[in-house]
Amino acid sequence: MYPSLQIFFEIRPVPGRVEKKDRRTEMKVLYDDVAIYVYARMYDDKDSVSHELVSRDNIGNADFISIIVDPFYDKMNGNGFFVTAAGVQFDAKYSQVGDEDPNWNAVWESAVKIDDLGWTCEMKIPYSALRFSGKDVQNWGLNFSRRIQRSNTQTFWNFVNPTVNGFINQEGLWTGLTNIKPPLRLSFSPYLSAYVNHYPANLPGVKNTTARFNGGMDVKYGINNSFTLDMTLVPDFGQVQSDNRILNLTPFEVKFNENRQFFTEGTELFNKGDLFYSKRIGSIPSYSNYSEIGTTDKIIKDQTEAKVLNATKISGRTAKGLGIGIFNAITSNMQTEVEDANGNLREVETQPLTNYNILVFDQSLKNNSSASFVNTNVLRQGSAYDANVSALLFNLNSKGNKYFVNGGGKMSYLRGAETSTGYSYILRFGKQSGNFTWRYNQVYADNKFDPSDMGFFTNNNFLDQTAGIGYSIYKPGKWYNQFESWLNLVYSRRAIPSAYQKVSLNSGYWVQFKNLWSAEFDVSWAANGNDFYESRNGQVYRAPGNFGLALYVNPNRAKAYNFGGNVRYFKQNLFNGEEYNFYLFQNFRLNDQVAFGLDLNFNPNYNFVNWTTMQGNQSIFSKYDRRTVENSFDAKYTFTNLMGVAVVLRHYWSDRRNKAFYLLKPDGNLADYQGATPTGTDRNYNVFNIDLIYTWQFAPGSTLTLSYKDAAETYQTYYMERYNRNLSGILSAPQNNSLSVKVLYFIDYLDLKRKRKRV
Amino acid sequence: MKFYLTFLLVLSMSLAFAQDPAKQKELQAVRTIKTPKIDGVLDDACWINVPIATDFF
Repeated sequence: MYPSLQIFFEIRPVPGRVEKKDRRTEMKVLYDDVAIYVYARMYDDKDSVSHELVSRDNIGNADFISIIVDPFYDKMNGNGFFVTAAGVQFDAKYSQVGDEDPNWNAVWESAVKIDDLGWTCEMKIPYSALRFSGKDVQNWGLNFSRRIQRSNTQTFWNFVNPTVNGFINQEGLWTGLTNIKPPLRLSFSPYLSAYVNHYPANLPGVKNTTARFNGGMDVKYGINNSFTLDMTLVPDFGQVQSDNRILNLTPFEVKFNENRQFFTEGTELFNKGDLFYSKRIGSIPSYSNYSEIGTTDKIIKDQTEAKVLNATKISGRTAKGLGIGIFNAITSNMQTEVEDANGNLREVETQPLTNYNILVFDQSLKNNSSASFVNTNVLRQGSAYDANVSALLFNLNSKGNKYFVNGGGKMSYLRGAETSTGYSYILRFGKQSGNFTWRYNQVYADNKFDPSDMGFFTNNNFLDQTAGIGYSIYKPGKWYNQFESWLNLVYSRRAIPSAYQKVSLNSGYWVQFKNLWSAEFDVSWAANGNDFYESRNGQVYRAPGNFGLALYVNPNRAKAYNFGGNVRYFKQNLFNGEEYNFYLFQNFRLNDQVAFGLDLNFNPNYNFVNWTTMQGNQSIFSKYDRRTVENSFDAKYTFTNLMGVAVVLRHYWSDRRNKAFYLLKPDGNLADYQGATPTGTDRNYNVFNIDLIYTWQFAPGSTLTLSYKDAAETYQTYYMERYNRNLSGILSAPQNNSLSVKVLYFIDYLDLKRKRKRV
Repeated sequence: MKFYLTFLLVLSMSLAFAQDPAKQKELQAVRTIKTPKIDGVLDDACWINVPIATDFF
């Protein structure tokens, strides 16, 4: 796996040092009526230039050159166009302070050449890839950035001071663009896909092998200079990377990464206020209704996901800095196939047709400040409840971005058979620039605040306060390049009725050494607390205090073979509960085209105590041992900068072996459980995935992808010993195999028009 | 010795002035009629006499 590029406000290794003459960079930029053109000459020793081939939107082990433009010169919003020395394109959109969105994609041209003086690059960025005003004379924000991978050097044309928060606000200026007109931005990307799926269900009336065809289209339309409409009609997300599922023993849901591009690209406005968890759209809906399925019914075929029928984003920002975002998505109603006691089959609607909506207004103010309004709305067909959540937010920064204060208020309103209104607020302030920083956070949510229908949600009813200090050194010293440290104190109370929940401290130290290795040491401590969630029935549990240590080591990834990992120790102050974690990753680059990665994770727990089951109304806890083993292997072969194949294999095994049972007493303490030993409370969970994908970008913006997926999951309520048995068990379990092909073709309306003229 | 010190001070000041990282850089935009061929080779005529942005930090 490759590190992300979010390194921008660290100029490494020596901030403010001018590049050496024999490593200097020379850039030229031209423009005409249709595009801007970039000339880049990177002086270097030609044999030292790193140029690993990776797929688009990755950098890999390669040098890069980039141009970053801010056409409205608002010092907040920009677009970056990167080309590596292997000719791989990477593009990103910058919105608020320091935020980089690599999921933003545009269609533009580039080429590179390695020669005796180092390497060179040319780019053509058409105006259709940019948003700008129609003013006669314009000044654009401009910066260039270059990376020399082997020495981990990143330099900028206009100095980006790492002690100043923000990146786009530290740009240079490109002056005097005259008479350029924003073009009509309209493109269509129709797609066709075909799937063959095999799962040995071996049930009468259920086919083991199924095939299906999909077709749909993405549309991008520039409504005016500043606003863009993105629409996906009958989207197909079948080739998206599988989630890394785990055995979750906590009372809270697990948050997964969004891998569907439509929901990650250009969504920064919709993520304001943390009210939007895009997996809710189709992947992990918050609502389902199984009340019409009786205890004598047998589920033949279930749907945990919902089909996305279409989704639309309209977003942009006016010249006066008002950002507006409108998001809409509709997911289909879903049926569960059920067999009753007499063998009759019927379909039950377990998910209704659902409409998801977001509306955002975000006004940029001076000094990278902003004020925003966000509303999310979920409408379900039929009697199921609807949800509406709103937030008013502000973010103020002092001149020079030194101090900040931000926060806001939120309100949720659920309307069904009963209505429920909940409130929450956030207040944060502190000092964010300089070597020494500090901050204070206060977050409150009452016991009715519930943004879960469109947002990620664990619990409400709290008042959490955090005070933190940080100290960083950005100037290299004798043995280090950079150093960061922090200390946070967290104090949490239940809101209604007010009660103490938790006090904890955590502190960390991160250092990058001269040899470009880095290490982080963390220490954490928590006092005994009151946990109102672990019991699952609202009863308080006197959660034991804990103590943890962790050491993380990261290698210099420029080396062809590199490895790192972590060692963690965690102690629970009850029954001497202990957790260890050993994680080792290794990366091996055979050459510029082929690379492998191997991750091994071993995570045993001994004598931990947690909730295990309910006996009637009583909450039963257990002392248990647990072991988690996770291994993954990835490999990639990149044939050219437009074609490659990548594979990821993952096996995860986690269990729970109960050793003693306890009854949760009304005072929150545990007593030995006197009843019959509960059965079926052990856990043994295995999941195995293969994701193989071949991608060929056969024309600008157009791709052919072939995907093979294999997935198997087993879940048992008894313990199975030994890793090998679990691995062979999961490999011989029913496998869901799917093979698919998808062709997506990008059509720019302007090209179509030009071609027609020629004919 | 005194002379050297002053000299060094002046030198370092002038260096700092010439490449003061805190100063915002500017580049004049140039319109072109001929367009370059995007092949990575910088031999197109249109690149001649275009101002250069350099001195990265």
